[in-house]
Amino acid sequence: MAEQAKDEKSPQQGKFYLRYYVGHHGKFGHEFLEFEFLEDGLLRYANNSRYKGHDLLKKSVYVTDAVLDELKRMIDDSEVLNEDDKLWPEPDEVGRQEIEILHNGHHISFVTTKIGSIIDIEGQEDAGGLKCFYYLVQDLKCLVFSLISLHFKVNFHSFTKSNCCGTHKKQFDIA
Amino acid sequence: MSRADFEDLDVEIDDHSGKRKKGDGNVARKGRGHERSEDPFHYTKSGAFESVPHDKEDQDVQRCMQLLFFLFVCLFKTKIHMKAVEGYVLFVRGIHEEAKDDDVYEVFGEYGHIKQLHLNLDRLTGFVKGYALIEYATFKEAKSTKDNLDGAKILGREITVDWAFKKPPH
Repeated sequence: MAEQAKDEKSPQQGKFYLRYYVGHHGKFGHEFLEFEFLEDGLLRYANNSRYKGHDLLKKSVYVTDAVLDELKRMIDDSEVLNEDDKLWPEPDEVGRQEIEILHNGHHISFVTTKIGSIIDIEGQEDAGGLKCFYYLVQDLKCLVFSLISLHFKVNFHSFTKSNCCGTHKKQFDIA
Repeated sequence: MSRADFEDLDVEIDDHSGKRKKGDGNVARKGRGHERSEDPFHYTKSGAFESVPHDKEDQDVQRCMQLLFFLFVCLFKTKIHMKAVEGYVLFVRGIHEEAKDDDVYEVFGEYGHIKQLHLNLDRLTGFVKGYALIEYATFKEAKSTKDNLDGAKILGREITVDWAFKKPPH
C-alpha cells in the first residue's frame, strides 16, 4: 500500500533534501556548523570551531528511512514550508543562517542572521515565522547532534557552547 | 557523493560561475537563498568526510568472510544496519510526549544493557519530541530488542523500532 502511494506521487514530490548552515567570521576565524541530509539517507556534518583549539570536523554517515521519516515529520509539524524569509533580518556581522529544504513539492531556501535566543525575535516584523524557524532549527540540531555523537563518539559539549540542546542524556555505565 | 547527485535534486549549479540555476521541475520555490549568487557556505559538498569503516574486525578474517558476507547480503538482504563506533544504535519513533527517561529505559532495558539513551525534547513545548536513540553494546541485544519491541506500546502509544544507521548503498 505504502509503495503504491509513493508511485502515484510525481517524482518531484518524492524528492527530499535538507541543509542547514550557521556561521560567522570572528576572532577565531570562520566558525560554522553545517549539516545536510540527502534523499538516500546520507547525513553530512561539518563543524569548524577554533574555540579551545578544535579543528574542522567533518563526518558522514548513512541514516535509515526511519530517521528520514522522523525528519520529514518534524518539518511537516513545524509548517516551515509555509513561511517566507522576505521580512526576516538580513545576515550581518553577527552571523548568518541558511536553511534549504526540498520536501513535498516545496523548495525553500531561507537566509537570515543568527538568532541567539527567542528574545531576539520579539518585536520583529515576522516574529511568527522566525519563531517557527528557530524552533525547527533547535529540534534539527538536537537530532543531528544525537546521531553524530552516538555514531562517532563526539562530545559536543566541549566545543559548542551555545549549541547544547534540551535533551535528556543518560550515561549508563557498566557497573 | 558528487555534484551529479546534488543536481538531481532540482538545485542545479552552473559549472562555470558556480551560480545556481532555476530547476524546471514543478516545485514551489521560496526564499532569498535561491537568488543569492554568493554561495560560499556549502562546506558539506566538498572534501573528505570521516566515516566509520564498515567492519572494524580483524582484517584477515574479514577478507575470508567477505565473499560469504556478500552472498548472505545478496540472498537475504537483511544485514543493512551499520555498526556505530562503539555499539549498535536503534531509532525509536512514536514515543508518547509525556514519556520519561525511566519509562523508556524500563522497556528497552529488558532486552539488553543500554549504553546510552537520547530522549530528545521538543524545544518549544518541553515535551518529548517523539523519537529516541538507544545504543547497545552488542548486535545481539539490539536485534533482540528490535524484534521484540517493534510495535510495542509505551504509555499506550504504539512505537516503531528500527536501526538508526545503515551501510552505504552501492
